[in-house]
Amino acid sequence: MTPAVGYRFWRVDPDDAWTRGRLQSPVAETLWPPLETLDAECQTRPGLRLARAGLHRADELRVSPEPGCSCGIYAYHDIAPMTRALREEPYMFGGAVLCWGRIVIHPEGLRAEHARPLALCRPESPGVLQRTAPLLEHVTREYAIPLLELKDLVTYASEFGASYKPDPSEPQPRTIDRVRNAVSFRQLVRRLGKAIGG
Amino acid sequence: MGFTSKPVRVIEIPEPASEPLLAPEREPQRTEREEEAPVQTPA
Repeated sequence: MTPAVGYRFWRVDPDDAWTRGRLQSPVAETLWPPLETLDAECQTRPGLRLARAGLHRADELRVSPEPGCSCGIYAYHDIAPMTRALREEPYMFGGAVLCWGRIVIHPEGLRAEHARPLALCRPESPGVLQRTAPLLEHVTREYAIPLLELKDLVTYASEFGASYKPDPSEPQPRTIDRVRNAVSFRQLVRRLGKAIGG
Repeated sequence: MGFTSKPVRVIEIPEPASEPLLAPEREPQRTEREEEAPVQTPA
């Protein structure tokens, strides 16, 4: 089975002494190790968006990403959501990643167990490009990956793996399954009772 | 980053068999000790 290719963005803070110009996940603040594979680890805590994470973090046999959790290494199937995000924040850079291990596939992207960066893309804005050129040169040298034009990113990444974007005709989870997954049977009965009996 | 939709599938992909990433070749850096080595002069 061919490794999965995805597109994502990272924050690179040139002034942060701790991150030292390394690729950083914008949400989980995970640092991607240069020249090594990043392994997923569930960092979700009760109180965050998915409190159910605690259930699988305590089970050593279950690995990240769990389908019912929000953990894993994120990447989009397409470059469009990635480029949209790049316009929102300075020192945010996009690129391609190669993913393998357990892969949880969503309609808009995937969550992976293992990943490594394949390439970064040059910012489209001439001003941003000029401001960040030395930083990008440093980062791509540290990770031994190329700095590509956005238009070349997909072609380059396709040499390493394939897209696992689901076919739009693929059946989505049914509404009743969503309800069943969201609430326990007891909660469901209680809610039905309230709805019927008032 | 985050997805608003439910997962549609879970798959297992084996580790790629390609060669590991290699760092670009660099000039060997001199250590501080080498730089501070005393210069021996003839007696």
